[in-house]
Amino acid sequence: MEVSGSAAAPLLDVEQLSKVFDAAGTGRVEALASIDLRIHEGEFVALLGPSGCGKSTLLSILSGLDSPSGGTVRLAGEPVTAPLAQMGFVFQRDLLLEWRTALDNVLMQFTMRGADPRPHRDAALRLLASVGLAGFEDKYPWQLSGGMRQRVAICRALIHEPQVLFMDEPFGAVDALTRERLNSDLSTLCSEPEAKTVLFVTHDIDEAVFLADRVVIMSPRPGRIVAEQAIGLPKPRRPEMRGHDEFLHEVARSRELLLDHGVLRD
Amino acid sequence: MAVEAAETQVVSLRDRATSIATGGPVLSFVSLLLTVFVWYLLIWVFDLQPFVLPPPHVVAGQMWNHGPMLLAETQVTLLQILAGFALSVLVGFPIGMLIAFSRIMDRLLYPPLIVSQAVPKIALAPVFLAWFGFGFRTNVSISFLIAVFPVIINTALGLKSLDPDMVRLGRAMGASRWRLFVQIRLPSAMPAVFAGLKISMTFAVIGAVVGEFVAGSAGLGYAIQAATGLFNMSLAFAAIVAISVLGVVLFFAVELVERIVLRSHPQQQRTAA
Repeated sequence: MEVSGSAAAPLLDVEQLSKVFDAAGTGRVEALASIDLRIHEGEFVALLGPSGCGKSTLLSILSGLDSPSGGTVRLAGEPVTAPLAQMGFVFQRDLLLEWRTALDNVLMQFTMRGADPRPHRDAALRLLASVGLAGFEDKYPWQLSGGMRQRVAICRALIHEPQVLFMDEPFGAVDALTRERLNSDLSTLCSEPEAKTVLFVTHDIDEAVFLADRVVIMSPRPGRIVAEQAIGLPKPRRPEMRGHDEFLHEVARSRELLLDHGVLRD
Repeated sequence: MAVEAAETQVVSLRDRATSIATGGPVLSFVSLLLTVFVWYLLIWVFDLQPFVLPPPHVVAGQMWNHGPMLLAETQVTLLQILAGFALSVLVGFPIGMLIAFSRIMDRLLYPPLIVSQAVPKIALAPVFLAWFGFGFRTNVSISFLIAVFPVIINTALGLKSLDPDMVRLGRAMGASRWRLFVQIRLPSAMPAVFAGLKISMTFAVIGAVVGEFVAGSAGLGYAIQAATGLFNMSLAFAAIVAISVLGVVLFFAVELVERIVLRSHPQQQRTAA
């Protein structure tokens, strides 16, 4: 397992990153300050923190959708200055095109790049089937439930086998049980056949511990990284692990770290 | 697999909601019968003479007797409406796009457009008469002037109202501005555009008929004026019925195109339009 400080060169290297919003009226807001973060290939990193701690902003900057006010982001040694070419992004809302079928929404990853989607049809069907959507390929988003829609969005972000997968609170809008189900589906999807590099933003301790190899804890005003926690549980994570002592122990440790750094209490 | 079962149930409920909505044609027929009934009722209650309000069967008889003449006038009016509508789409859609995509054009064009909405454009009919004389060109101009606004406004609003997160999604997928427009922005705007086209079509009908009132030498509007001038109320009403049928047919023609173009858009967007 890769943990920060290991010998191999990181895939994503963030150094002294800061972000300041200078909006008229509200004045200067320091959203992120002196962020240092290294993410290795095949690592699943969860960014855990309360809303307003800048974790979504950090995700936008790392993916190249937004630019930092200071510091650098490097992908495989190259500075990131534009949206990454080979990335997948899953947003809090599924953002499916209502007039395209589930399959065509997944293949949108290619049509938006101006590529021919036809050679990827079979792969897309397999991917949809692997998240339990076999038989729903030709349904329109308005015929699917919230959980099914978000699964389509995840398939859309993975179909082109991206270098990095960014997920911004993707399960914030689904019910608790569907969320547990989606968590274990995602864990399987991201560890088989080979481990994928994922950066996952959440404000849910259980979700962060369940999914991640490493939980990065952030505190607000300004957004800073205050602690990191390596999670040594075997992957892919299974739903029953939520009851295991090892899992509960890691959750307790996460909570302690949040308490220690004043995120849960001043 | 309980989750799957619950999710499938949601789907079947939505399918059922769609099938209930198709009871439309029956209700339309009932409301038509109701209109005819109220028409007779008014004549009976107020004891109206045929030269004031002719009963439906007399009007129907007139339509039968003057069928060829009414058809010829309908053709004249129809051409004017279609020309006015086509011009509105050809001119209105690009202007709507300009307003949506250029901040300068938005500032420059939007305020005068909104102000001109308050001006009763029918008041310009005599001016057009003075410019273009009696007939086709004047009537098409009036029709266009009224019908172009809903196209401009709805196109601009539809294109502008795209969810900013959709733009982020497009950028995350490496989309160029062009592909973002063709694959996301334009299809998202289509329900609003079609809502505008439907209003525009009804306005085009109004414009053409008003044109014929003011500057007509032919057409159904002219026929109504000529018939009332001769106190031939039943013929006037026959022409009014012809215009109504024409307006309804044209409206549903646009709706038919909408259904074909937006066939895979969600139901709620279709009914909201």
